Amino acid sequence: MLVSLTDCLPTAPVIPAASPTPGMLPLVVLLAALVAVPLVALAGAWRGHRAADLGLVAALTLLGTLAVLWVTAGESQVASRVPGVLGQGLDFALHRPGLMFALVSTGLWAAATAFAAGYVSRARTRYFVFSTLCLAGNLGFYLAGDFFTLFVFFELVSLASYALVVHEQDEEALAAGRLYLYLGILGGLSILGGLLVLGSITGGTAFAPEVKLAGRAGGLAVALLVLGFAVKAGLVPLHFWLPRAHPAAPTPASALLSGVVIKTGIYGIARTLGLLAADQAAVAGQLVLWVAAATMLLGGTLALCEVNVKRLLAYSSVSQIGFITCGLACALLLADDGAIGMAGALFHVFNHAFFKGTLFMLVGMVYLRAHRLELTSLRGAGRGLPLVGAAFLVAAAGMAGVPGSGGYASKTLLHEALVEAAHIGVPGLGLAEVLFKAAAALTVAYAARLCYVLFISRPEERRPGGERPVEQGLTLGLGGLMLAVGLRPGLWLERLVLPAVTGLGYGGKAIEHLGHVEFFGLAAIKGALWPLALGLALFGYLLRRDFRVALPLPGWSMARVVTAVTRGGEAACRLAERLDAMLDPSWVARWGGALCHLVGRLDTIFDPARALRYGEDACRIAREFDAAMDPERALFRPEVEGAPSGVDAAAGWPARWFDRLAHALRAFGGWVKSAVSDALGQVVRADPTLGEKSEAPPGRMSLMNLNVAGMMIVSVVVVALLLLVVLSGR
Amino acid sequence: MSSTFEIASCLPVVAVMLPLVGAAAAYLVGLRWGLLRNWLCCAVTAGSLALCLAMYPDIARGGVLVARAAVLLPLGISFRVDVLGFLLATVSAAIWFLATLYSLEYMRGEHGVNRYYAFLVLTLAGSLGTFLAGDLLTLFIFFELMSLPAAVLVIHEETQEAVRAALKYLFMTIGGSLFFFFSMVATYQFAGSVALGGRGLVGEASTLAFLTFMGFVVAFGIKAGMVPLHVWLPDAHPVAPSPASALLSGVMIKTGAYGMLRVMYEIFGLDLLRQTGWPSVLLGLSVATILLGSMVAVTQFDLKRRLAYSSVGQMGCILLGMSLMSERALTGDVFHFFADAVAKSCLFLCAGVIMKETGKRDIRQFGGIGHRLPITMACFAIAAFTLVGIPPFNGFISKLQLSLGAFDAGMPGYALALLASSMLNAVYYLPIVITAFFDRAAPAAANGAGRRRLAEAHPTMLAPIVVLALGCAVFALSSENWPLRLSETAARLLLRR
Repeated sequence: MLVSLTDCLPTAPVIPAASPTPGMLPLVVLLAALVAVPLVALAGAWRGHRAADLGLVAALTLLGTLAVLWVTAGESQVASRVPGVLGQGLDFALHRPGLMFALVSTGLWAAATAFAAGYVSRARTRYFVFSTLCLAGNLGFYLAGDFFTLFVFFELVSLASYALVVHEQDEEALAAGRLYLYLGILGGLSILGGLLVLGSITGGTAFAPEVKLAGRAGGLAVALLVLGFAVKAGLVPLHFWLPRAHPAAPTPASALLSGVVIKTGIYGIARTLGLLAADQAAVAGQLVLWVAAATMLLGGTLALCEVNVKRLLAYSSVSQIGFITCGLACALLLADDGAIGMAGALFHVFNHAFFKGTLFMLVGMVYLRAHRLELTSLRGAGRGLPLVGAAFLVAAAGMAGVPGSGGYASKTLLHEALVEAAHIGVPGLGLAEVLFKAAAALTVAYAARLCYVLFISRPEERRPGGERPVEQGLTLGLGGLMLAVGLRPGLWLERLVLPAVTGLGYGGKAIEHLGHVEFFGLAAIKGALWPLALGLALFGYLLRRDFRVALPLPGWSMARVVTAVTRGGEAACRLAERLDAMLDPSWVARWGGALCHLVGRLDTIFDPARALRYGEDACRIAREFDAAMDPERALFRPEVEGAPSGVDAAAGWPARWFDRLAHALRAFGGWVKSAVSDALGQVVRADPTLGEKSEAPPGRMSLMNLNVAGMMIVSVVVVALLLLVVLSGR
Repeated sequence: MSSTFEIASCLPVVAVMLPLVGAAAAYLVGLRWGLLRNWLCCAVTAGSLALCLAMYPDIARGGVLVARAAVLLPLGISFRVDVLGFLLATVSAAIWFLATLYSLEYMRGEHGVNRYYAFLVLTLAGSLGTFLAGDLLTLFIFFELMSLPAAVLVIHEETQEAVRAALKYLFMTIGGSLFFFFSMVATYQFAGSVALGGRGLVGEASTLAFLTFMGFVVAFGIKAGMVPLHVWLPDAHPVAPSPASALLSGVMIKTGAYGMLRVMYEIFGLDLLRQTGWPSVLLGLSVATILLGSMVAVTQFDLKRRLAYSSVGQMGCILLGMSLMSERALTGDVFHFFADAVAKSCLFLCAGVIMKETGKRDIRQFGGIGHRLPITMACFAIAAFTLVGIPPFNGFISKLQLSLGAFDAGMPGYALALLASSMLNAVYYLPIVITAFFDRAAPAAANGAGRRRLAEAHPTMLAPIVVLALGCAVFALSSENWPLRLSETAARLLLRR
């Protein structure tokens, strides 16, 4: 069935830029999703298994509502504003790009919820509550009318999906969850920073501001926003959390995370790149293009070497995100004619959501029976499951881009966009096209490996077959959808993707250009066969070597960078703690105490009691001296002292005066002795070591003290004299 | 909002006098009748809240309530209530009421309950007086009336650790008062008046004016927990009983920042500050406060100590907002007073429940408490998200406004400090929530089994927590964000637009 785009696109839709009409519709949809969250919780609290039913009902209701809105929505978007909330007011709008993403998300959500009902066994209520919350966040994200609202719901998605990642609660899931959470918050802060810069330039956070961003500030705003969204999308080198977080979640949650949640990053990047002025778009386009090329090649290579099925699919998601981003880059490089790149990207978003989500769920179905995830122990594990096998084949073909599948159509568009960009002379595009084909070949190789190992190779042990009705329904539904897309890609492109592309601001001429793409033309098929042949050859080669390949990968990885950053952060925090401890004023108390002690010692020197004692001594000496000088006493001394001889008394005054002088000297000596021994006695009391020594008789001690005192006085006098001499000599 | 007009009213006087008299009454009543005292305290705090709310009609008309209490007190005490004072007084009275309600159950069977309740109510008088003060002298008196009795709350446990922390608190508070006193006297020297509510009393820049400014920075910095003067805070807040910690960390340290706000915009005035660039001192210190407080919090594993360091970090955000001197920064600043007060007191009350019900303080042992205390931990999570700045809670609004204010002020680099603060807050708050709900040590939470070891706290302890957690979300999610409107008016009033 060869259908070219021109058949089903009679007239290219030329849609004038319409002004939004106010209405409550987007708000009603979002509120319905938010109200579903407590309902699911209540149902779970009432009876555990009801949570799953209600979650499914909510997802299906929302899907139906969105589908009706998609069909009935007119050309002008419906916008509603909730003023005042969060200080800024939230803006919602029903616009085609958002509606397309929301439709895809909700569709896969319904499928994954149906699958989870039979898969999730523990903490079911929590799983379905957070799953529904995450869905509500997704809807809010896609129905957002400006970047601020986009950011608010982006955070909600990040936090709600965290609970899905750590659902298993084992060490691996918690570690992966930590990485997921903190990178998500860092990404959110980067977006917030970008919004602040954006707001300071344009005065608002509208999707299409009146002034396009230019200059360094504009570049900074776009860079911060893209960086934040790139974390979520998993672009190299910010992809490293993805292969850890997605496999850690229960399989239905992995399907949602890999199929839908990372697309929030793509949508954000697409919106952000639309802010750029024309002169910066070329530079940014080149940058994004090479990041995309690195992402698709690295993701594909790592997927090829991976043994764990879920991790393989996660790496594959990284690679496919690279393909999508490649389309965004082409849209940027082609400027006004970029519709084809954007169409390829959005179409691949749609296809990837369904084939990757389906693959994860099918792997989950196999896992429910084999309880293994390593390819080495899963040989032929899916052989007893015919419907699962068929759906797997369809989904893997879509991933590989086999003609007749959805992935083929979107990759053809992406390739066409690259060729066109090369055609208008963008430098480096020839190489990019080669890399694109190489990455496509890698995809073919690992898709072939998955199919071969799971469904073709001979099983080591017999496992019970048989599919449950839910599984049959899911495989039939999803497989049928993918077949329908693959066989009539033109129809889906026209009905689903092109309105979204138009909504992103791409005009009529560029849309018309899409009419020239013939999906099943000779050139397109030839373009797809090259990677197919190359990939199959690679698969054959690797199969013979049993996939034991030593990749020349660098010895470091981003995980190590994260570890280093974490360690650095911890060290910085410990340093801060040390600094904080140093600021503690206990040293003030310590030194203050020491100072007070010292002052107390000084204070005893000035103790008036001692001065009194010295004073008393001085007074006593003076009194004695006075008494000695009293002539009356001298006259009557013999009588007073009872001297017997009158001759002696008459011996003459010189002898008497000499006697008195000796007496006075004796008294002075006694005073000095007592004073010094007093002082030294205090030292002895203060210093116990001296006290221990002084067990000699008290008399000897005082004599020793006298000697010491004499030596001290002499030495002080000598030093003073020396100083005097030296000073006078100068 | 230049069209403010003064209304003479005795409401502020009554609002302050009620807890002052109530404290004495509570002590005397409590000597005989314990239960009566407890409910009397609740009634007094509720009455203060009602009196604060009774000022709203006049405030909403754009009025400024003025009361000179010359009859009651001969000290020249005066009250002057504008939007800013009204908002903070109302919020603090509300939190006081909730903390008193919480204390009923928390303090049951503790020692020194009589002393505790009397001083709890007394500090409310000081705090309200500070927020409603009409001049620096009144501010000073009530600042002291709050700070010094708060030491009794800190020392309550009477352990050696508590005594040491209280001494440190007391000495640093008294040191701060000296700086306050010096600066107040110097202000009087400059202007011959210390009345608040003007456009700036200190006329021109001089060395003495700068010293006066720095004196105020030190005085209020000590109370607000500004690095490097925060050292008393991480010791004093964790040792107090949890409701007292909630008040200390939630409201009382805000009085320091409030005093700084008043002094900057009404004593020195916008023109002088713009012309001299003195607030850059505060800018640098506040960034240091944000980074140091948050980073040290990461290394703490005692729950209340981590919360106390988090308070230091949040006060850094508040000090940063007031020194940016742009309208949106001030709006965010005043709103952050409110957001942080509600969230931080909620966190401390939750910590009290956790410690009382599980006996655990170390957050590494919190595995699975989310299943035992689901309501408490859910409220804890909401309050933690608020402080991290995750939408849709209050903290996000204030941090967004502060960042926008940084851009308005032409200093976008400071927005980076706020973003870094958010990241660090996430690093030290989210692990607590994660451990509580997702740690493997949790009882195997199979479907419905979460109910089997439910040991939730007493309703009178739970109700304040739930009300505060709702306070974190309800205003942010409603279209009529009442505190934010008041904050905007307050910011315009401060900038005299």
